[in-house]
Amino acid sequence: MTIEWGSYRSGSFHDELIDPRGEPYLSAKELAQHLTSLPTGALETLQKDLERAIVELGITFTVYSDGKNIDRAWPLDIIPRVIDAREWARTVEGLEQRLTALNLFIDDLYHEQRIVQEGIVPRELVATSPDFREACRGVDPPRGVWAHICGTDLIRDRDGTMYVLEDNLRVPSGVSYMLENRVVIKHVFPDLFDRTDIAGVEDYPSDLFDMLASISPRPVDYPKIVVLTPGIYNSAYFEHAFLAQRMGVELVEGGDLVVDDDDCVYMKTIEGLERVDVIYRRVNDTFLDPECFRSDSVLGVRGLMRAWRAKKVAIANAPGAGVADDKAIYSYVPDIIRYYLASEPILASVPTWRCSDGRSCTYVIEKLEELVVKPTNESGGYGMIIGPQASKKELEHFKTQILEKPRNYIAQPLIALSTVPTLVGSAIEPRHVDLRPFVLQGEETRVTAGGLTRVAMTKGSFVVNSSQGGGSKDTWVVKAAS
Amino acid sequence: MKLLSRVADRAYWAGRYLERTNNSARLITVVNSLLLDLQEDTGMDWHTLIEITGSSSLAKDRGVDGTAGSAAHFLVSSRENPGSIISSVTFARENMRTSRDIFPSEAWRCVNEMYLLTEAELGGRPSSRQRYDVLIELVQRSHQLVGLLTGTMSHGDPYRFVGLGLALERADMTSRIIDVAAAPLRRQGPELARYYNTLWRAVLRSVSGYQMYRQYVRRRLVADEVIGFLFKDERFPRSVAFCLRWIEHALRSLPRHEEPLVRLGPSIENVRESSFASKDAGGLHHWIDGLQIDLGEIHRLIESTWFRLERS
Repeated sequence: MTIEWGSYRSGSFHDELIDPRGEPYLSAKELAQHLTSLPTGALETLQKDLERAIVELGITFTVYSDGKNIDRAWPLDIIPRVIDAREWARTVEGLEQRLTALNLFIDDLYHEQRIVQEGIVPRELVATSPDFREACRGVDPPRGVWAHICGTDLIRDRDGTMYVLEDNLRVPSGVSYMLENRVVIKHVFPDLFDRTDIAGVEDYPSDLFDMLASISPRPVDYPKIVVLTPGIYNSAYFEHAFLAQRMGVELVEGGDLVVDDDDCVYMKTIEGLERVDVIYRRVNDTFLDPECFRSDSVLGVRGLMRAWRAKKVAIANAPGAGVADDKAIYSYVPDIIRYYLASEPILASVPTWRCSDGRSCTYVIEKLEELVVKPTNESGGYGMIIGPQASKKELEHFKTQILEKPRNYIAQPLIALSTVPTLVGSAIEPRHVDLRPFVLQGEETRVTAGGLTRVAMTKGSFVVNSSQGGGSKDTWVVKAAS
Repeated sequence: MKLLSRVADRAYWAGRYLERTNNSARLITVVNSLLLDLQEDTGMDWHTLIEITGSSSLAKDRGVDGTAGSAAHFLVSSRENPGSIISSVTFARENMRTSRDIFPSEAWRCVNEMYLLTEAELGGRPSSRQRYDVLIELVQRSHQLVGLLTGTMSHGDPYRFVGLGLALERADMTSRIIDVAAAPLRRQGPELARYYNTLWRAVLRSVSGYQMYRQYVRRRLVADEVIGFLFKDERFPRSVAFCLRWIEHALRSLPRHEEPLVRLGPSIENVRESSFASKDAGGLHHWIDGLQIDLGEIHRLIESTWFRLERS
């Protein structure tokens, strides 16, 4: 069967490639035509080649199941998601604006808390945030930046509006898959890359390196940078190893580092101890330093917070940055942008009911079967409920949980995620997607061209997480020939 | 990029456990067939094997009796015995798994297959036939893996640490075998004399040295000659002298090698200068004790120089 876009329909959902009349959007035209030109069965063969390439390149992710860690081949769909370059330029502005405001917000929270004093963000919310770290008060990280690496989740509703769904400011992952997806897809469609103006994504590792170097506390030409991983059992270990390798820096575990009496951090090598300037940590706050946080942590480095507070080492993201990643704080981000930048938010946020607010809570309980309810400080799609898709029993269970700890929950209307044509068996069907661009902020701010598109492979599903059966797509920011 | 102490540590132990797997597996198969050949009490039995691996008291605690089944299980399949075949393969794999980036991916696949084979075939209560076949297979596969590393891994610092592990473990095992084997063999009783050849051949075969001994020594099997060959022959890759040279070579190429290298020098000298013709059983045992202490100290100096670094 050759592809006929005229018969492709995504129902009432917005499709990223094909308009409601079955015509490809201008930016997706080359791609759609190329796919149509393929003989019957060619796309499936290419998909199989692509899957073999992924196994051979060893692109894996780790899932924890039955008490064991299993490495699985990374799932990638052959049909890319396309974004028009003009639209993307505006999104980039929005992402930069948002992270800039969030960094000002975090810095304020650990200093005077003006925004709280002026009653814009309730004191209660900050005081009860499990991600607010007393140990970070009064610290001045280089350039006032706390969240250096942000993986913002974007989704698009039926009417085409792009919303920010989450600001991932703790240890966002996925960027290695964005890079690997591009490598694989380039092999699949080399001529399309010749013919189409697709923005490159390959600079990310060197941009990341430059950003990390720019926050070094020591004025040396070659600051010593390391990636700190919890170890091989972490689900994102592939990415930690990948980024370390691409930046040409050491991948270390907590036990590889030591803080000496001079408050400097050293790395243990066979040539002796070597001073470390910047740590790109992929370990959560609470495990960073047993001296300061969880005393039972074996993943961290004793004295690391001491070294950081003494400005002997830079940590990205800075400890405590996660406070702005709380889903209850999320609902205040538009106000936060207005407060610090005196400008209107460029990107829309999803309307959010905070269950901590009595009236909102009553509303949420009443309308639970229409809403999406999420815990305020979880990620990866864990612990959430999608009202319209939940059973009676699940809904009842959630009601009890919300009433017990309202601060821990927020609710949002169900956004009908947009779709992208996806190869399912031998047919092309619409599947729902989100998008995670990566934003770097140091001396300057950089946004990846596109990002990681995650796709729910199950028909009708909105769950895109790879740990829960999601796949991925290469993402093309295309300058359409006009 | 500088090699992390942790990674060096794991490379070293990957080497040790890999070599331990190979040596123990071969030793068990050789003693196994020797015991089938011998009709009488020669002082060589399953307990001798447990003694060689230095785990007599652990075996006693675990209630291992003198029967072949019980001892073989302890040496091969027991997870409670950290020196068992199954433990050695598990630890070799675990050390490679946690330092995977430095190894060629085929090497990881190879050790993983060894592990899966061990788990499947030796994990329960294998028959003695099955056990024997798998041990032979493990000897082959561990040779294959070491060959793969030699042929495909860059001979830089990580490789040197693997080599240190292999060489130290091998020197240790060769000297243990001689120590335990020599004691009853040197008892010149008439009942033993008939088996003299069989026994020395077994000792040589346990370190794959029979053919090489025949080619290079060209004498009948005489205790002093065999012992001398296994300690001093610098051409035979499983002799103690060869292993010490190998260690010396690896140490010289590593940074900050002074302490372990200085400690190694007299050991090499001692092995080269010693004569075994003049030593009685007690004297030999004493001499081997001294060598074991040397090896232990070199191991500790490798650890303290490169792995256990705490302060500048």
